[in-house]
Amino acid sequence: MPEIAHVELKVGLEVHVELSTRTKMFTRAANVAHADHFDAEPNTLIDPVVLGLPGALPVMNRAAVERSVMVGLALNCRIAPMSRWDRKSYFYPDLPKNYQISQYQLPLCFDGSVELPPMSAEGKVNYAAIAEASEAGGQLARTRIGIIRAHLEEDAGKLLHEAPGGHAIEGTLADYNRAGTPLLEIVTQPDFRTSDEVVVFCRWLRDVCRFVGATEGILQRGHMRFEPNINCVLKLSDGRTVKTPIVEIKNLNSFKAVQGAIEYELREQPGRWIRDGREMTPGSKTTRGWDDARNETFVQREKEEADDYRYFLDPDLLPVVMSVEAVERIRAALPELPLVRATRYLREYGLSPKEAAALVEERDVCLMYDAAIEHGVSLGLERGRAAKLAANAILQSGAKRANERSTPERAVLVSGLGISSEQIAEIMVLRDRGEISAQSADELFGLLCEMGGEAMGASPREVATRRGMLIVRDDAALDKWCDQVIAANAKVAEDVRSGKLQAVGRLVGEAMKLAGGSADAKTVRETLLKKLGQG
Amino acid sequence: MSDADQPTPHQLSSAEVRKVATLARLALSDEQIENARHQLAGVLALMDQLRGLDLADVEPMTHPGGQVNRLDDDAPSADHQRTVLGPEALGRIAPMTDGPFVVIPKVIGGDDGGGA
Repeated sequence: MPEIAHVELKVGLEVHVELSTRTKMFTRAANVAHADHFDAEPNTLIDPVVLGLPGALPVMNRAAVERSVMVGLALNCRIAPMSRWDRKSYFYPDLPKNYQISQYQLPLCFDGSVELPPMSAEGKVNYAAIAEASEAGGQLARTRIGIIRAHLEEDAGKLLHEAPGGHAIEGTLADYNRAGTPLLEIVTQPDFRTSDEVVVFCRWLRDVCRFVGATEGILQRGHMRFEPNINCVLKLSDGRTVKTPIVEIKNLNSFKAVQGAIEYELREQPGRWIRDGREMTPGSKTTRGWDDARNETFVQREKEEADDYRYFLDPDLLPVVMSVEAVERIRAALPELPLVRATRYLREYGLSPKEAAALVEERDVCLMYDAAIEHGVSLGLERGRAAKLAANAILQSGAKRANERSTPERAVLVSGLGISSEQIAEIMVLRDRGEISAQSADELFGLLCEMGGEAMGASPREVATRRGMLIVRDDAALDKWCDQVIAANAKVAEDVRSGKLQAVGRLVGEAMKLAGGSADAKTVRETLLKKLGQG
Repeated sequence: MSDADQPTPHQLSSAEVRKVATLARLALSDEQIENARHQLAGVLALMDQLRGLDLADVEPMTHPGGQVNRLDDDAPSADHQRTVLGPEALGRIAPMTDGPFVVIPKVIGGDDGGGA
């Protein structure tokens, strides 16, 4: 028997994205993937369409179609001038009407491609590297991933195999809140060659889907489920090449599981081939699940063949026609995507790659950043200066407080601290005019966050005034503080008089203490030096 | 169609009919299987007849009537509010319930959302 000389991994990916529209795909019952309904009581988001009761008719959700087109455009897909709805016959208790509405023959989006972004050392999308390269006039060599299709369908309900609270149950419990949630299924070509490539794609896709407002993208809630199709190309010592049968791993909902499942199959498949000699043929594909605790995949039900689903045109639904104008209208409404945004921050605002990448990690944070700049400009700040001050406020004062409030279960973003972009802009202006110290600006940021609801609309200037944070321009008061400090620190003052200028730092600190932060350190220093004959 | 000029009469085997019946969750007796076998052969014969037509210049029709895009705004309408159901209504039509849930026979393999 020839030996395996070389193993090449081949992975194609299916991703299911739950859209965060207010209502479901084919009825106006509330959608559990919308933030308002995340924790809805079981079986409260249902109606005759969801349950497939006789006489109930589906009607498409405009927003679901438009957001799917947005994602399709971001994946450089072509948008079908006409797509239609098929029924996938499917007898499983998580969909009570016994079929799933999907798009089999004519998907909404097709034939796209994505240039794979590089991964950072922390395993995140490295926007900084791409932005930097493009800024330097070059381009990174990037792997191209083909997108076969992105089509709309509806999600199924949820089956629970143990009761909430853990009490034993005879059967399985069904909750139909999720049934009918708009689901965008994205299918790639088998163009991935490493598990890292797959993970960075998954992360990038999540960022993009969140930026266009298609999904909340909370993986723990199953908003995005990943299904890699994995096989290996084995080069044998006798010169032959064989392909192992494709294994599809179902329903992975963390990046760690995606990576683990692919690495496991890459390790196992060559050995499986040695044991059973099975090669890739039509019908040889199997379906496996992922055991997070044991770190391995396991055999699941044998998948039905596409023929067995007996797809046919859904007679209850009309085709979706997208005119060129409609597609262009959606394209025009497409928000700036993370990479383009990071590049712009670098180029226009002179932020560092690290700052730009940190800002674009979350859509809400960079929307807040952009808004703070606009408010700052309208309050008279020069744009570049406003951009720098806003980046400092968000990435320092903001990120620090967001970290403090985050827990492993729930990440808090700067945009969720309670302070508004208008308030941030006002703090920026106070700081820019030298009306508050850097330390006070940070404290003021914190106060406005802590005030929560009551700070809504509170003027940072008023709060700063009330708290005595505004820098005093009163020369008499400043004179008094400096004189007091010199009198109380005769030895240090003498050192400064005799030329040891660095000793003045201690006196500045004492004077600032007396001023309670309401003096400007630079002015205090100048006044002290003048008084000590060094000005 | 490349084979349009060579229509072949379709005969389904009992096993094929039985497979289709299983997929449709229909329990058919031997007599019903035999009956369905002949009826389906008639349907397939009609398909063969259609395959003989020259349809080169005919646009595929995906839906009768020519209507498209019946789209709803993404908002719960007052009209719709009247049709919203809850666990009580579901409980009245479900064979078995446990609190707000419908109880169904144990699902093999514990697969969640198999087809979606």
